[in-house]
Amino acid sequence: MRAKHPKKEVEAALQEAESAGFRVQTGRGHWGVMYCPGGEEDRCPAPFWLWSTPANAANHAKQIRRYVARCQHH
Amino acid sequence: MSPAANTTDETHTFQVVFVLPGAESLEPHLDALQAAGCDDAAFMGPALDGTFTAEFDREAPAFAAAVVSALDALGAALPGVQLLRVQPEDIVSLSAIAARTGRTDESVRLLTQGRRGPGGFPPAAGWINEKTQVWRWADVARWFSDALDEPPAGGEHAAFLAALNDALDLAARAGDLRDRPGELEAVMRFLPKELTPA
Repeated sequence: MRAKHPKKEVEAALQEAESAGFRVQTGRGHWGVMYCPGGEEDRCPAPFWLWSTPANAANHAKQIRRYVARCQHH
Repeated sequence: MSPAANTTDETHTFQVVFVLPGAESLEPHLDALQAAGCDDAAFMGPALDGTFTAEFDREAPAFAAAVVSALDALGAALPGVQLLRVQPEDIVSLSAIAARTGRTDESVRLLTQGRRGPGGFPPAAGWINEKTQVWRWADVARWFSDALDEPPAGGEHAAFLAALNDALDLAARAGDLRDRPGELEAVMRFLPKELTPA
């Protein structure tokens, strides 16, 4: 089980992304990094760097959801 | 810290595509990006072509102010950064026009050919292959607004983004001409007076 993101809105968006096959790796960058389900041929582009204290948590959650929606690999 | 919000600020969403020569990852640059107030953006990449993308949701009184402050912050945080373009993309295919205007591809195709609607659809900006035309979104958005009274959502920024992206391209081209002053002067003759200092 990975650590939960300190911002609940971001954590909720991450759980939705993981349900869609995205992979969250904690302990990288400022908190973690997200990879889309695509492999070496991904064009989404990956990775998606996650802030631990984004300027606006609700907007960071929206950014995660848009990235998931745009991804061509799920 | 991102620019402080006040009661007249709105949230403006846009993407900046950039190249950072020599960088294979943004991880070493995240501290500098946060210190420059870029933590209102999501950073993604590199893509297969080596570009990175920052998607901003930035508070500012106006769209142009949001974009300019974001570009300034990226430049401050990432020395050597090459800003390629600000999206939404100005070069659009027929399908992209359909998506942005809520129409079918066929409906847009008929509009472009003058077989539906009032005619006068802007000419294509070019062909990307034998079968595929592309248009400048700034021209198309203005036509939808003027000719059909159907201004597309977000279309109000199309002219600004088109000009800004052209300015970013020109900045890159001017770098290429740095050692060719005669050619640089020739280009300068054709800069519009609206864009040259008084």
